[in-house]
Amino acid sequence: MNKTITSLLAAIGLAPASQVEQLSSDVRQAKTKIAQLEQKAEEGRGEASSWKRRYEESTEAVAGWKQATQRAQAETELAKRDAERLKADLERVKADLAREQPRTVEERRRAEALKAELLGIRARVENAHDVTDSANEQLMAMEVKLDLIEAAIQVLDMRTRDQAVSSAR
Amino acid sequence: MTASASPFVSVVITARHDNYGGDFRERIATPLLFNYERLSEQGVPYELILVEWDPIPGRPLLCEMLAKERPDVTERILRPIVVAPQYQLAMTQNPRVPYLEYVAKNVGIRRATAPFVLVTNADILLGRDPVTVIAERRLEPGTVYRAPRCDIKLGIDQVGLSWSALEDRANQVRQPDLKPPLFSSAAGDFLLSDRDTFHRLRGFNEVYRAARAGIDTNFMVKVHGAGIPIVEIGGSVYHVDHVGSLRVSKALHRDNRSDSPWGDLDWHSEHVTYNNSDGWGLGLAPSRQRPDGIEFLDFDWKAVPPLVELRRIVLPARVADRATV
Repeated sequence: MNKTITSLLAAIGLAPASQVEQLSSDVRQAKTKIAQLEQKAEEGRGEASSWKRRYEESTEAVAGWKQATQRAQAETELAKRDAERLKADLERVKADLAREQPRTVEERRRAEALKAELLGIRARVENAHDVTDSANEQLMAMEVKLDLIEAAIQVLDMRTRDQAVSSAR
Repeated sequence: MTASASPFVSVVITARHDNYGGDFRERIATPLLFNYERLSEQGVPYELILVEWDPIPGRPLLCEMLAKERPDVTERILRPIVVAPQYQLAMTQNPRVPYLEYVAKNVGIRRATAPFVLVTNADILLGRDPVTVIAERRLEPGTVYRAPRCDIKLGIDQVGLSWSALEDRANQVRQPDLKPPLFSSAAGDFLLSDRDTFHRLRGFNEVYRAARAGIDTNFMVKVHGAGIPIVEIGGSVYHVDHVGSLRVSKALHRDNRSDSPWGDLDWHSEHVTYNNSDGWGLGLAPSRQRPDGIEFLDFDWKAVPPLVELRRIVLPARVADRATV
């Protein structure tokens, strides 16, 4: 019966309501699925772009490291060359030192001898200074004593003259 | 002198009524009264020994004039000692030096009775700090105390002079520093020590009497050589400049420094020292007390030291400089 009705409706281009509802529901589900698939496709595209970016960054980093490695290698080479030059200089200095050592020992010996001589001279100068100081002190004391003798002679002379004049009167 | 308490300090000055440095009132009476008032305010019992050396005949003695003018003061503190004029004539080694100032001071030091003796000059005004130290008895035996002398401008009105006026730099013409080791600048204006130390040193040089200048410095050389600490007491004493003072008149004798009234200004006072005899300070001079309270030292050749005693001129001991206050 139902089948007949359905066939009749289909003949005039109609369908039963239940079927319409079913179809509508199917359409909605399909739309939802499409939206989900689109979202997933979008996510996939985003992830692909992220991976691409990471790849590019890694590539750049690798290139940088390569450059740094090359620079380091070049610097190492330079340092090696400097070290070799320094080593050569050191060898030269060592050789010079070995050649100059006897002369240095001699100079040192002479400097010590001069120092000893200088200390001796200084001691003699200090001694002479003390003797001069002492002589100056004695000289000043002698001057004071001479002043006193002169003063006394003048006083006595004056007294004698006074006495001589008064006794003559 | 009728002071009730026994003196803590004997102040020794010497003078002569010859109008040296201005009239009597300006030069002697005003400083004497100033010091009397300051010391009395602080309760310092003291005697003032005024040694009148070689008094001029026919002129009143300074001590008589003072006693007449201020009996209230002189009765309390003054101990006058008058020295017979013959001593100047008998002791002089240089007729150009008319006043043996330091022998006169020795006369006073020898006869001082207080435990401490301050040797100063008649025209010195004591400063605030020295008076405080004395009043508080912050003095150690075996030490010589010095104070620098600050000169006050010539011609200042001395009536009513106060410590504030003296301490005002506007009134000062010279503020010297005392330099170690001798602290000798103007030593004759303030020398304070205990009586025993002065006696141990036998006072100022009496062997070299040909000069008056430098005898105080020579005393400091002896003090230093004897290893006695020299200490600055703190603060100053003051001296009013006057015509005839060594400082003011020095320039007059610039060209003939051995002929000044102070004797040879350049004698070796910092390089020699002396040993006075036991009779220093006219210790053997006969003394008599006159009814007016004046002690008079009569003349006697026994008290006069020989004209020349070369063995008593000696070299000072070298002393390593040490820190002094």
